[in-house]
Amino acid sequence: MNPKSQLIESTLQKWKASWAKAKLVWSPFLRLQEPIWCTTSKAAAQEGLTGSFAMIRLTDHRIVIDLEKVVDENVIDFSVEILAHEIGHHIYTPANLHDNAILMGRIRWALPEIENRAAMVANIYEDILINDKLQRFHDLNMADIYKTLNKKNKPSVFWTLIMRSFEYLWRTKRGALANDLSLHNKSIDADAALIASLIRSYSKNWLDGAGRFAVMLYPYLVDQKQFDKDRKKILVLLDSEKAGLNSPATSGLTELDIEGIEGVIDMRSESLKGDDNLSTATGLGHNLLGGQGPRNIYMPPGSYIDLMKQVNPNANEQKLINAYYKEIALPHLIDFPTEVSQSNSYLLPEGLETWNIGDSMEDLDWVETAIHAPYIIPGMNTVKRTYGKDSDEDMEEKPLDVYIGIDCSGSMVNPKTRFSWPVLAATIIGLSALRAGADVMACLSGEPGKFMETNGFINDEKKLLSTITSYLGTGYAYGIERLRKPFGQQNDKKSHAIIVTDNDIFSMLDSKTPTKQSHWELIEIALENAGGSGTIVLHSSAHYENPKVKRLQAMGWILHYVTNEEELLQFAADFSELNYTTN
Amino acid sequence: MAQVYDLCFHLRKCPPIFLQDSLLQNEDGIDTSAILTDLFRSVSGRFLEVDFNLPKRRQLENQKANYLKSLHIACWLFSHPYFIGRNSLVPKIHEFLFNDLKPICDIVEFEKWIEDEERTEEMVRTGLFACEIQPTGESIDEAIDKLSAISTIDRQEILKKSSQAMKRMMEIRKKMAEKKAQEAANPYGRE
Repeated sequence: MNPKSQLIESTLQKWKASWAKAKLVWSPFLRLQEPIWCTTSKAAAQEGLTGSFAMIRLTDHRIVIDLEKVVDENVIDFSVEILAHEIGHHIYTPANLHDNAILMGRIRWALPEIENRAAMVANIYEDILINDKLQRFHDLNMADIYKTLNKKNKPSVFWTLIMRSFEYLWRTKRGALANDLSLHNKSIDADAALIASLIRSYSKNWLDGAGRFAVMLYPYLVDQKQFDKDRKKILVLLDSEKAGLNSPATSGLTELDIEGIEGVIDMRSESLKGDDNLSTATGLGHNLLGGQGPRNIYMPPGSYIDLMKQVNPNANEQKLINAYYKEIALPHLIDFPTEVSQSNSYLLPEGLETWNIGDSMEDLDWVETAIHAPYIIPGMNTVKRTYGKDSDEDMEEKPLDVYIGIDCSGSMVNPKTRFSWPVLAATIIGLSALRAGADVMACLSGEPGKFMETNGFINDEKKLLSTITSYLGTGYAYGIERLRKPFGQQNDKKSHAIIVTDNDIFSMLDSKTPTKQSHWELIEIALENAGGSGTIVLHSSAHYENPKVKRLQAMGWILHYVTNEEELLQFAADFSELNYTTN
Repeated sequence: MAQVYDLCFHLRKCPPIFLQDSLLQNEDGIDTSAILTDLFRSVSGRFLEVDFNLPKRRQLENQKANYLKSLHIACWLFSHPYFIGRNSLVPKIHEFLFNDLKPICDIVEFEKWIEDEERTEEMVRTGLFACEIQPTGESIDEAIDKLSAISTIDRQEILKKSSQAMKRMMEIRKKMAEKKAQEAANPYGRE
């Protein structure tokens, strides 16, 4: 064993022994798993730790320590301080994924155009809060960690600001931590004093101080080249920047954080008397704060994705957009309409149908599946037994399936970048249907051009939302031809059909078809075969193309007019009420 | 030599009665002239002295309420045993109370002298500086630097400049963001 390996081994023993003491700093009742001790930086990198000697993971509540880096940075003697600091991230700030995401969101508001630096700013803010607590109230020697790190690092202006803030907090002599006096100036002094005051004032309600803190740092982060240099220097301190890596999408973050936005205040102006225009938050969108969607209270989907990807850089964009529309739809979910039909006192086995992955496991008929094919591919050749009616006079309610066709032509907005009302309405109806036990088929169509649809009527929420929240942007209207697949032939199970489109649907109805059957004939047959109600939601005024409207109404289609997109939300709620309020 | 933190601790324990309005401006208030006279008697040790060259009643009446309440608080500070019986400090304290303190009170609200740790320290250090007393454990340069670092007046000038710069920066960024948002916006305009 070489001397460095020996040193790492002895450091490991020492740090392991310090773990209990570090926990005791916070609470004798604290239960937290022992850190993952990595004796090489390579092993630490595999755990996701690079740049610093320690990090936290909020997803599994772990701490990772890179002992090789501990030795390299000569911080061996600060085992209790560093471990207590990491514990502080778990139990004080950010403490959990939700607060971590809120903190990130608040800081993003304070960093217009440089939002990508929010994770670093959040990490520094948390560090100052934790270290101040440990130094002032728990008598740990956090200052000496910085003194040790200072020996290796040539300080920058940004580093000097942070160190000066500690000097104000801990009332040390000038230069005790910010050791390059040539970088000191009155402006840094003033900013550092304000940061120190902020840290003291918001140590308990630290989320409320995040906006102010980020604004204090803003001028120091704007210059890209300088930022790149500063970041390299400060990298060794960044231990919670990736705390939310691989976390699932945190719920409750689609709404604009008004409290957070109002806290984006420049303390420099705040401390000057008579300056009333304090808020520096910038807004993008319909109102000053950029709210979109129902009551303009939601952040734009693009901003939501940016925030969530900053919390978890590995997040899947499609999953995020699904979560976004689902969360907004949740308060509006309806009891899905039901059909009154005779129920069965005895069920008799009849035929077989494909067992899909979303179906219940106990429905899967293994014997019949095995008879059909020697190799079992779930969803492809797996089957389930269907049961037929006996006779009974009892009544039971059974939900109808629903087909949702959405015009996704060029005039539609991309639901990933801006809030889309048709997508919200489809999400509300689709999720309500699934909740009630019905299957849903969704189809996006922008024709002539492209279309995208689910594989028939499905009960898989992920697949459904992924289809609804996709974007085509081709053609001019919903393609009537898309009704052929679900309703070209009569179905055993009745369905509702909803088409969300605009006046261009009439041009589509009149357009030529590759078959002898006209679009008018197809749409009529489709409604008959659907068996349930048929609704065309038209973004139009009520009298447009009146004769053609009457022709559709004569077929049995209900035309629902919306003149602005917000009415689509009302439609989604009214859909059940108007037709099926009996359940 | 004086312990800054002892004096800060003493100042933060200022009795609530000192925070009341002056009797000169509110008949339910406390008597500013009496507090001042008591202070100078204690500091000088001359308990029979009547005239300490204090401002006349009319002069005090015209002062802002914030300044008069700050004056009460400062009197509490100098009532610390460290200052008692040190006659040589009388003219310096006089200078501090009636000249040095006034411009700071245009910026600092009186409650801050007690509630805000940094303002507490500022009053203590400014007071010690006026009295030419070196804080314990600090060199003169260090003491001057620490006072300068927390000085409200010094900071106001710097903050005015940096606040203006920040506003300009935010304004530019805001315009850029709005422009970007307008470009990205594709309102659902049906043909």
